[in-house]
Amino acid sequence: MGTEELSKLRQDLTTIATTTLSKDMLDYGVFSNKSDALTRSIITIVYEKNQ
Amino acid sequence: MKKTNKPIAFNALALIDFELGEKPITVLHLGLVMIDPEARSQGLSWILYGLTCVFLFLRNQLRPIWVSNVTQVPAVVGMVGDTFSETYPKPDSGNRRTLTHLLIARQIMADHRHVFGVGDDAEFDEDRFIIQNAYTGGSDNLKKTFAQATKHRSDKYNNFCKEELNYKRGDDVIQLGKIDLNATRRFLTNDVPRGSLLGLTVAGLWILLNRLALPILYWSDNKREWNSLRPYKND
Repeated sequence: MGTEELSKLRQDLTTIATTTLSKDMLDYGVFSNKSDALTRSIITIVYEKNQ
Repeated sequence: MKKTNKPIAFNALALIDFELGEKPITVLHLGLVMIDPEARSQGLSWILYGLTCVFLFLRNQLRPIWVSNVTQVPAVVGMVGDTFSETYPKPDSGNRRTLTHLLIARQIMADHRHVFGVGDDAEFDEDRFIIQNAYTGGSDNLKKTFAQATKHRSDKYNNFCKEELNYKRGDDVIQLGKIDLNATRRFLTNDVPRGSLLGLTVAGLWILLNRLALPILYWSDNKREWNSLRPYKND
């Protein structure tokens, strides 16, 4: 994935996490600050169905 | 689902690589799953928990893949126990902890606990596959009480978690199982909604065509080579 796509993916994951968590954000796995956090990850993401 | 602007759920699987008996092995860790509270009744569980695993199994040319899961939620313990093969621990199943289970768990706990946010000070109980004081390495905000954790429809999983996990301390259970043909059959018959079976079957056949049927076809054709795949014999 390109830098722009990765950035959008991170943004979408954060959107879901902030909606879901009542407490502070997580800082491990795909939410880790390490640059290679997504390198060995397979993400399935669901978007709202268009009505 | 057709993509619009609003992301509502995700699952992040992690690939964990290490050597087992001097052979390389990749374990698929069932990572973080999050669903927007407003979307929780839309039946997304089968997509988030099983679908990607089945696709990876098909891409792996139907070779079984070891799967790991770390949780304190009875509903997830039950989902893993009911779906995957040779799962340990799985209450009231008779499934044994084999040497392979133990060696894989030891490797994961020794070198890969950062994948699921468990700190160095957490202790691993090898006999019960319980991680004591697990919420210390970045996953702290996911710690739940037993009352807060989503229950499974079968009480055997709820009772297992209640009896084996210390929710005050923040314990997790680590489960190991396999995605194989039997697990895929269970997923298709028990979890996938009937309305989605046709689409899923077409997608599965497409993957198998690309990853299995076509390579065999090209391998058996000794008239032409296909990329780096050599035919089984040259004239």
